[in-house]
Formats: sequence, C-alpha cells, structure tokens
Amino acid sequence: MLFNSIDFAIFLPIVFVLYWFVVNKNLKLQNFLIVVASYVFYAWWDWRFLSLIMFSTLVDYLVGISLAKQEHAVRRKMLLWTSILINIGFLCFFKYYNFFIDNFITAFSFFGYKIQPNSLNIILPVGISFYTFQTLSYSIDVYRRKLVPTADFIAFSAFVSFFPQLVAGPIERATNLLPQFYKKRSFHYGKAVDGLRQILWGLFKKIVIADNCAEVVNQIFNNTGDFSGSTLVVGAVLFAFQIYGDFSGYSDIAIGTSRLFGFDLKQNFAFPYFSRDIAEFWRRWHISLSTWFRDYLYIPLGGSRGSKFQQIRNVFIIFVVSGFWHGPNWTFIVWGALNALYFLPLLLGSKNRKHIEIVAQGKWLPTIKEILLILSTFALTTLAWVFFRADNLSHAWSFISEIFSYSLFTIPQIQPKILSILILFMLLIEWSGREELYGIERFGITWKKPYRYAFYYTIVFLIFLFSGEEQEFIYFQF
Amino acid sequence: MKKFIKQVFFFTLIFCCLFTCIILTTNIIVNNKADFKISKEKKYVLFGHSQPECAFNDSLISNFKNFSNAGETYFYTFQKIKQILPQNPQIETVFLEFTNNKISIWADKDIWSNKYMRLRYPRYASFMNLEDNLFLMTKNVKGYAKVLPISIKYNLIRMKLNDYFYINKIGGYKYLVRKKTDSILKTMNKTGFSIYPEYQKMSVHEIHYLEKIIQFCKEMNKKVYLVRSPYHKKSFYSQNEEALQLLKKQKFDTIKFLDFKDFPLDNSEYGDLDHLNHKGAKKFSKWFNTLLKKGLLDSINKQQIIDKKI
Repeated sequence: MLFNSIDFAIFLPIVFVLYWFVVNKNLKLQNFLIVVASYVFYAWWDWRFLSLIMFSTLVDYLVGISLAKQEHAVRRKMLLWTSILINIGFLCFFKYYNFFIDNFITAFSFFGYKIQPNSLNIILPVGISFYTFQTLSYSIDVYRRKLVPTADFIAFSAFVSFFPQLVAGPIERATNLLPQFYKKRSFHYGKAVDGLRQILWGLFKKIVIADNCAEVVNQIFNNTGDFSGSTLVVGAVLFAFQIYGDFSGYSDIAIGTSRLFGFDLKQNFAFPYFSRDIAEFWRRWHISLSTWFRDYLYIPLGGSRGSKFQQIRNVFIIFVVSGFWHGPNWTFIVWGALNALYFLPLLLGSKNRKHIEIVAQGKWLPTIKEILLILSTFALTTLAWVFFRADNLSHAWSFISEIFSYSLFTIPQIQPKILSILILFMLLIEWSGREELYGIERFGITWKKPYRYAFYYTIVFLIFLFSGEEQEFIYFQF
Repeated sequence: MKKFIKQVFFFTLIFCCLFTCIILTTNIIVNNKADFKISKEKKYVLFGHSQPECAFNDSLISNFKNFSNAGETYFYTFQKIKQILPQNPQIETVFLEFTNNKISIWADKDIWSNKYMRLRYPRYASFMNLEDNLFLMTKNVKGYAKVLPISIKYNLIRMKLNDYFYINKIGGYKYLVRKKTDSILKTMNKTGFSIYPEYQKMSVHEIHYLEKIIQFCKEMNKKVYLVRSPYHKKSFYSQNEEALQLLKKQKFDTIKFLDFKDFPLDNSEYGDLDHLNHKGAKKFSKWFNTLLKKGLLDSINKQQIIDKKI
C-alpha cells in the first residue's frame, strides 16, 4: 500500500478509529491491532512475503530470549551469528543472488572459462533491507547487553512490522522503538495535530515535488543522447530534488503517522541540502541508515581511530557497503565510493565535524561563504546522484561526459518553470524551518490560526492539483 | 480526542466544499466559453475511434470533418457531439463508426480504466452531466477520484492561456505511415488465430450511449448514418460479426448502415489488420468523396451502390 494512495487514505482512518476507540483500553490489544494492520498493509503489495517477515520476527525473538539466558561467550556469539546469517542470508538471496551470479560469470569468462549457472527470476520483497536491519539491530543490541530482550512476542512483532516505517524506514533502533510498545499510550492532541502536519508536508514533497520531477527526470535520463549538457544538468538537479522529495517525504509521512498512534520515531532527514560539506550532508541524509552503519559497522571496524590507512579503509567500507545496500548494481557501489572520496579530505584534515551546528542558526540569511559552501556541496552530491539514477555505469559515464561538453553552455532544451517555482517554494519553507524537526513545524506553532489554515489549504490544494498517477516511492526498491 | 476529530472533520468538510466550488466554477467557465465551431462549409461530420481516424482523410473529402479519435468510446463521443452539433448548425449529416470492436465488452475498459479516464475525462469533464459523472464514479471510484484534480488543472490551464478552442484537440484524421500487415500475417500463420469468447460479449454501456447519441442527433434534426471503415479480412475483431449484425437488426434497424469493410485494398495499404495507412486512406477517401458527390446519401439502395462499386 502506498502512502499516497486512496487505499491508504481509507486504511489509516479505519486503523486510527479502531486503535483509539475500540482497543484503547488494552495495551496488548493495541499492539495486536498494530501487527494485524501492519500485515494487511504489507500484504496489500504481496501477501506471500509476509512469511519472510514472520520468520524473521520469530528467529530474532527466539535469539533474543536465548541470549538472555545464555552466559557462555562462544554460545552467545553463535546465537548472534545465527540471527545475522539468517537475516543477511535472506537479504542476499532475494536482493543480490542474480548480481553475484552475473558478476561471477563475467569474471570467469574474462579468464576464458565459460560457466552457465542458473539465474533465478526473483522478486525483491518490498522493504526487506529496512526490516532486516531493524531486527538485526535488536539482536546486536541484546548481544551487547544494551537492551533487555523482550518476552512479549506481540510487542516484538509490532516493533518489526510497524506499518508506518515497515517498507522504507526510518530504520528504528530497538532501544528507541521497542520500549514504546510496552508503555500505555494515551491520545495527545498536540502530538496528533503535529503528526497530521508532518504527513501533509511529506505528501507535498512526494506528490508535488518528487512525482513532478520524476516526469522530467525520466524523460532526460531515458533519452540522454538527445539532450545538451545544460539539459542534462537540469535532469541531474531535478533528480536530486526528486529523491529528496520522495524519500524525505516518505519519512515525514511515516513519522507523522506514527505520531497519530502515539509513537515517536527518530528524525530521518535534517535538511541535508543546506549542508556545508559532505560530512554534514551525511549527518543529515537518511540519518537512520547512516547511524546504523556507524554503530554496527564503522565503529566495530575501528572508526576514525587507528592508522591513516585504517581510517581510509573504514570510510571506504562504510560508504561502499552503504551504496551496495541500495541495490545490486555497480552504479550504487560507485555512488558510495564517490561519496567516500568526497569525505576523505575532510576526515584526513580532521574537518569532518567542522559544521555541527545548523547553518546560519538564529539568522534569516546565510553568509556569502555559507551560500558558496552549500552550493558546492549540492553540486558534488548532484554529480554523485547521476550514478545513483543511471541504468548502468556506461550510462552514467556518457551522461557526465555530455555534461562536461561545450553544450553545457547552451540554453537547456527543457525549462520546467512551474516546477522550479514549486522547488523554490519548498526550499524557502524548509530554510525557514531548518531549526525544527520538519519543514512546516514552526508554522504550526508560531502562526495565527487564519494564516495557518490558509497555508494548510494551499498545501492541500497544491497536492490535489499536482496529483495524478500514484508513483511508487524510490526507496521501495531498496 | 473529540477536539481532534472535530477539527479534522471540519477541515475536511471545508476542503470538500472548496474543492466542489472550484470544480463547478471552472467547469461552468470552460463550458460557457468552449469553442467547438468548425468551418461553415463542413456539412458532414464523422465520429469514431482509431479505425475511422486512419481511414477518412478529410482533406480529400468535400465538406467533411473527421472527429475520430483513437480509443474513443461512444461515452466520450456523446460528450463531444453535445457540444459540436449545437455550435455548428450547418452540419447536416452525422456519421458514426459502428464496427465490431466498438460494441464489444472490451470497449468498456476504454471508458473507465485509469489510463483512458485520465486521458479523456479532464478534456470533457466540463460538458458531462451528473448522470455521466455518477456512471464513471460507480465504475471506477478510485480512478474517478484521481482524475478530478487533473480536470481542475486542465481547466485552470485553459483559463490561464485563455484557450477555449477545442477543435484541434479532440480528434481528426491520422496520417499513418506504418506497413506492418505482411509481418503480422506471417506471425499469425505461425501462431494461429486466437478465439476470445469474452470478446463476443456486447457492451451494454456502449450500446446505451450509441442510442443516446442517435437520439440527440435526431433531436437536433441531423441525419445519422452508421458506417464501418475498411479493415483487413484477417482482422481478429471480425469474430463477433454475427453479434454485430444481430444488434444492428434489433436496435438500430431504422438507422442506415454504410458498410465499407470489404473495400478492396492491398496489404501495403494497411498499417496493420485494423487500420489503413496513408496510402489506403488516400485511395478510400477519394473513392468515398466521389460516392458522396454522386449522391450516395440521396439514393435509396445505398449499400447496394457501395457493394457494386467495391
């Protein structure tokens, strides 16, 4: 079920009413309703893959219980590895099997050997990368004794399958989300209104910005050879806004929906396009994934400690793995490696934590230097996004080669004027709300009712006016 | 909780009211200003789908305007004709394509499927009455909900550009270049001819709207003819021929039927088994023009004259 579908517009109020009016007096029933609703939400796409979620839930629940009872270090490690191997095993099979087989064949044929292993026609279960990482975080945290394992199977199932963030995150840590299923939740007016406001802003970013960018981006990326360098730049820039609107929009809807049910999810995007360097960008983009990799991969590898070689190795590993997490394609790996290259000078110069505070905090406008830094960071990320969006490496290469040709200095063949105004509108709103958790949060707090409502209606009308075919969220494919 | 529900309810209610007002206002404005006027010499008009769209080259037929549009069903033709006839009193004769695939239940999807509704509803929303809107809504409520905002956008763009001229956007002769008949026949020889029992079923809705069109034309004192454009004898669509003849006899016996199905053409004059390419259209249109000039419509045995000429 898509958040931007009529199905969800019917599903959400039904679950909301059942949750707060029918089962509100019993915490276990509330959690059970969340599990059922989440399974319905997931089954809307393909019910067959529910078994995967259920199996993953059962394995990690049992591993958690066993870890609590087990004191023997080797046996504890074996239990942890059972969880890791089963979860990563599913992920590798469904997501990477054909990629490894294809590259295996290519590598062998390079040395003159011809092998013909079978490729399988595998459907990628939606959200597998997200819920796999979420359950893994539980097993690892229990193993590290950071979290007491739960004996409540319903609460654990609800944590794994919680529908607002099941298929595209944010990837919640068990330490943050799981305890919320143990506590009695009471309806809080301010929180619910805030949730609706965040949903509204998420829908705007998805339907108005991302989906409209998608039309132009697809046209340009699918016919790269027909366009001038300047037009390709338009395509690359619009893709940067498409993926931001798409994914941060999804996260806003997920977080807002969770708030309607009394849950607090962590912020997943913190206005990344206002970053002044790549390190800051990665602290603000897909925060739940970046911090997951930081805590469960980067730090165990040694993080920024050790020799220069080790530091460089760790940075490359985390970025390449992060790229590979997005999909079985070399384009994602190169995208990750390119970001590692951007990051390295900052790390080696110990400048990776230079921009911790919010840009131009407490001021209306940034300084010229800040503007230049923001623009240069945006240009670098946009260049990397070309690899992310391209079909394959040669497509990405031809796209970039054409950008850096004489035709860069011509007038773009495509000039999406209305879309540019809408993007500018989004950027202005996000700039003014950059000190909050999401773009329009401050309007809900500081503006007077008539202005606030006029603003909400404007956003709602823009959403309706620019809605058309429901476009899938990009991150569903990951 | 009560306060929250109340606020959400009123917010939604106000939104629905505003939305309805915008729909009605834009529809009324566009409806009042819509321009469907054609040249004063045009006395014959033709409506249909892709087959007549590719067959009747109206630049070669005197006083004739082809309004056919690929995939158009009688439901949308009805919306179009309601505007064209009152705005063009010079029109004397209306030709309506009446062919095998137009009456099949398969045509239903062209009325209310997401794809076709998105394509046509915004264009004709301003001219549809409540009954037609309810019809679409009951058939595909989700699709209908999705096209409503698109129709507002469509109307707003028209209003912004002050462009209410519809004629060049609602159909016309299509110059088809392709010549795929031989390759299609070759494939068919290998794979065989498929029979689809579902295709044989009639579309109740399409027949209903055809009746409404005929009724409307009569009320406007126009002569109505059902026509069938030429198509290849191997066309798969001909498998409901019996049903078509029966329907013609039962429901439209009083309406004259001009059948050009067997008009002689080479494979190279077809774009595929169902559509004439520009060569075929040229040959057929010139022939049809001569026939019209010789007074086909005034003669008593029209079909006999056609068959004799074919």
